[in-house]
Amino acid sequence: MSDVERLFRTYNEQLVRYLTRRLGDRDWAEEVAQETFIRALRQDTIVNERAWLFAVATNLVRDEARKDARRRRHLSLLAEEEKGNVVESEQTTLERAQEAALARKAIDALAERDRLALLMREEGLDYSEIAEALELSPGSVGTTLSRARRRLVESYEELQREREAREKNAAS
Amino acid sequence: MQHPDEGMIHTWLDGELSPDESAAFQEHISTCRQCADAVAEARGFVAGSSRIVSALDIVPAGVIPVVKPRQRAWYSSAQFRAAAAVLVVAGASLLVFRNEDQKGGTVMQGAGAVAEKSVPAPTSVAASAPQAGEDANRPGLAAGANSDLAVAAPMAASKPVPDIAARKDALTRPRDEFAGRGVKGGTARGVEEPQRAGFAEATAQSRASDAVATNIAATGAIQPEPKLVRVDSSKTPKQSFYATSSGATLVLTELEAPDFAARGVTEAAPAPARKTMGAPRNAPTTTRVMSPPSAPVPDPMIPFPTAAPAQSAAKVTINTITWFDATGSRRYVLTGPVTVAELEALKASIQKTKQ
Repeated sequence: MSDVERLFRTYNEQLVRYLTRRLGDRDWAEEVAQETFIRALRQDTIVNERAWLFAVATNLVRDEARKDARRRRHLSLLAEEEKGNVVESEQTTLERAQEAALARKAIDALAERDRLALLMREEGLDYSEIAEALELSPGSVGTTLSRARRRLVESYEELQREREAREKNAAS
Repeated sequence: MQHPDEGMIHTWLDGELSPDESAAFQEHISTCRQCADAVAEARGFVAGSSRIVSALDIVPAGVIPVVKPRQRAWYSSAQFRAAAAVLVVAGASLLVFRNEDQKGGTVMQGAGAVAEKSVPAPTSVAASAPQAGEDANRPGLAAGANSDLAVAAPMAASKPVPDIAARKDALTRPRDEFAGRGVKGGTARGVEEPQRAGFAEATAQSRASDAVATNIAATGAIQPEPKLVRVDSSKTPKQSFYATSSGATLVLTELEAPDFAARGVTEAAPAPARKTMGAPRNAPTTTRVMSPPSAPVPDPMIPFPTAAPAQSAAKVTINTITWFDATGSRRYVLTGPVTVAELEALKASIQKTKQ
């Protein structure tokens, strides 16, 4: 088994999930993950594999995000959610869809660095890996994560309250 | 220890403090109510954010198009699929027609066949066929089988007696099989004729027998130098199919020495009777079931390695010629609904090409 194959087997799932959460688009995430492994193929030595992969993937996303078409598509998806144009489905599915839409909004409301640190932590990266991938000082990772978590939860709860208020208005 | 900040609380919750720091931290929160509350709140944020992040994985159907429209592969286009479907149908038809061709040939071989255990006819013949087959396995009962036939298939009743007698001969004296077959060749023709006549009159004539009749009729104006149309080397023995200009199919079977020895196609060990598959369904010829029980030879296409009697110009039946190659290690069997002279002509041209 080649080194890249081993890397792929070990980290692809994590990386794709991280990217999917980051991008809200599984296909896009897989593309970026593949590109990341291709870059790993060209790299001679990688000291901290996971940190390296997440850093490269994150940078790729940053580059890609500049491409307008993708951005627009992403925004149009959000707009769809905004309109509440959810297909007829069972109640539970609908609730879960709304939950996902709220989570997406809350995540998107975070500062980029906070968001990335949090998503990487959720994939099990330790502080030194996150620091390496995001070029932070190791001592600031805890602060970054604590801020990200608090803001995420607070903005999610805020969005939830807004929605409940809207639903109440619509019902009355 | 000072009150830890929120970042340190998260660092501790994430298990990222050094052992010393961690011990000091724990000691502090066990005594500091305010920090203990802060830790409890931080735990809530850790759990809550984790849950929210997980919610990102929910991709509800129809809301987010997970699969983006991709260029379809060339082979999944509607046109290609349609074309492929046409090809499949065409191919299947070709197979069916070829089969029918072979069936035609086999049926005619069947006229001379000792063994016959094919699909029974759907008429009253069908009922008697299996029994006839069983009876026929014992030569002594051949006459009984024949009387069955006579009742069940009256239109074939005039001639089969000598045929069966000949077969009985062959079964009881296997060493004389070639001779017996020679007789049968003649007899078979005799049987075939009235049957065909009967078919012509019968309204319920099967398509297969139509094909047979056409095939036979076509052989009247056969041209020499038939063309090689197909070689089936997937089977053992290898078979080559030649088409005459009139549409008849000739079959050349090549038997290797061990092959034909094993199959008992030599004078010393005559071939056991063979099942002839591919006889037309519905055709009364299928009632001539004369297979001894020890005749499991599965290959239906081995023609009889014997020369049929010379044909009169008007009547055409299946003829077979056989010869060895120069070394004697290979035996060729050529059979088809043409005259022996025509077979010999093809044999000459085959020998020329094999040299």
